[in-house]
Amino acid sequence: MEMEYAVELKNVTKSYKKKTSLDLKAEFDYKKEKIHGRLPMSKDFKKKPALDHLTVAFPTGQVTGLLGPNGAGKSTLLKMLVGLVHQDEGTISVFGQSPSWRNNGEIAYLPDRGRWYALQTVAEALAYAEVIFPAFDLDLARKMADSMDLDPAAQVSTLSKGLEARLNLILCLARRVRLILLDEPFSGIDLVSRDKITQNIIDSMLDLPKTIIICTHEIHEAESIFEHVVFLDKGQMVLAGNAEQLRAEKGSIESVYRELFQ
Amino acid sequence: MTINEETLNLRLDLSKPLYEQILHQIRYAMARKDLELGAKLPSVRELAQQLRVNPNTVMRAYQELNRDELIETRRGQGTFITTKPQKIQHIRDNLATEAINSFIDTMQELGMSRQTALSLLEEGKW
Amino acid sequence: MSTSRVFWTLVRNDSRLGSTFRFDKARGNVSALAAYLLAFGIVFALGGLLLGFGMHISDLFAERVIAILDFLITPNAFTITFLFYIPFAFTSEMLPREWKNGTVGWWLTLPYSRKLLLGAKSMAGFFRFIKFLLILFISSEYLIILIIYLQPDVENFALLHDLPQRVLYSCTIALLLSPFFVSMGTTGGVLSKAQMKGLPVIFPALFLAVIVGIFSSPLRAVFSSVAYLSPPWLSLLLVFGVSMGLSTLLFFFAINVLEHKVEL
Repeated sequence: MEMEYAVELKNVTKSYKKKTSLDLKAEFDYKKEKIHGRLPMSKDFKKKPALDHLTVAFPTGQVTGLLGPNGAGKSTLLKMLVGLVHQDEGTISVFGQSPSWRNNGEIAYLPDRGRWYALQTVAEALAYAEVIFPAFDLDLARKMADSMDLDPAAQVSTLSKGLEARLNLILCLARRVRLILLDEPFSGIDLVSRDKITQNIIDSMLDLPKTIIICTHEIHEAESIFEHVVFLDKGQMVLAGNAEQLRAEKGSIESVYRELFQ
Repeated sequence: MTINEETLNLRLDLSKPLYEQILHQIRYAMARKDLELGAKLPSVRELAQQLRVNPNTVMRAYQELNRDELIETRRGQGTFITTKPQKIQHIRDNLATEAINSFIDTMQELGMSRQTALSLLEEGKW
Repeated sequence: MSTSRVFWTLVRNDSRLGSTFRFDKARGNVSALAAYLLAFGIVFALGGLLLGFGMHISDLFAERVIAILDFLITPNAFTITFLFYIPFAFTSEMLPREWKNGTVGWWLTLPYSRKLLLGAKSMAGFFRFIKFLLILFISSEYLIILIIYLQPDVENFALLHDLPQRVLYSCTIALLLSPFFVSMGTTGGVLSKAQMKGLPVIFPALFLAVIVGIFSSPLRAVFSSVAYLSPPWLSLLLVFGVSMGLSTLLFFFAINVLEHKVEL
């Protein structure tokens, strides 16, 4: 049976440019360099690609772990899927379409280090989400908030990092969407919060068939829920495959990671 | 009798395929009579939560057990161990054979003859 | 969910974003709002009473107050810049705030047109300005009434005669022309986050100067210090029309930049 891919990237390259020529000038003034006897121009900067001719695909209806060291391009990849970043080269297709805000009604994206609106209470946040996110299941969200010990009357600004992470997760998982992108959902979060987050991810898988891509450093925590794994390094794909197959061939996903990146 | 976490005490080793481990450990628990005939198994959701694994992995294991007629799903009620003792006996025999073959492999690797192995077996802690 | 409901929900959330008032930080319920208004009212009344007392005691003080009021109400370089800078400032910080608060990842990925997103931010900035203008208007009228009641024996008392109309006229002009500055604010906010090849700040200033140059005649009519006596309707209409047209142009420019030139 041919595998269906919800997300496909073909030969995608992306380099981050400096913001303005003033930034460039400032940097050069500091270094006081001259190139070939003339003042430096923007083209002299070697652009370090965040993604380098990357070709990779994510199977539909499966949970894929997107793993790799810092700067590998994982966040950039996810951002591209929701149209926050545009590629310099290559094609990206999400359910057969180019990424754009127009398709984001079907995609739930948890931004890396994303905060929520501090002045809202938890209850207000869920009510607000119901209005602005299409297909947001408010009942489910409330149940999840309850199971995650979130006080509906608590203001978001008073929440600890772990509790805010739980709220952010609910804002993604309570949406009836086909694709869920979680960028570092476990980062800097306490153990109990991590458990609760994992539990809720497992629950949401039973709900509707959906494609989930999780980008994380906490491999040990999360690897048991991956069905598919993709390893990225310096903007390129180093290894990809079915999690159980990799376990049969090489051992735990964590050990595979260590082997690749040590 | 409903099986709770204490009776179905599965431990997973992340360095080996999880699906196989779940399958093997449930079969083993059945063979050792830890699970009684006709007992109720945890739902896919419950087991996935307990083990913190992908529910699809649990589902695959349950499907395989279903195919072997070791468990049966009753609509609206849940998943139950088979009531046929011969099925359980069957696994027991298979697992025993596996253990024996594994024993024989180890003995051969150590260079022991069949005679030596048998006498060691007799003297073992029965 | 209808687009309209989404829009107004966004506006409401955007309005709360930069709140410095403690009462906005509290749960947005009726009793908090009532407390806020009450506190505000008390400060207002007390302030007025204090000023009134000062003016009653000292004629010189009263003279100074009237002179200041007169100055602030006359369309001069100071008051015009101030009044038009405010909507610009209020609106231009709406967008960068999403970045500052870390909520931009959620906002920029919303499945709605950039027109709707920026429209909500602009509207929120506009409402903030209206709130500000309202407070300004009420404060001035309150002060004027107070002084008239006190009847201080000062030379410039006669200035008060027209003051209410002048306040009304100035506030109306500020209101009519604010959409343009709100749009400028939105555009400024977007440009600050855009990856464009060094757009110097001088560009909008030049743009403004050109516009002012072209429409100097009707502008002078609108901003003349005696305009309030008989409003120059034609000039007003022209100035309003042009400002709305330009503000629309700017808005669509901002949408375009947000769609194509802003990345995270």
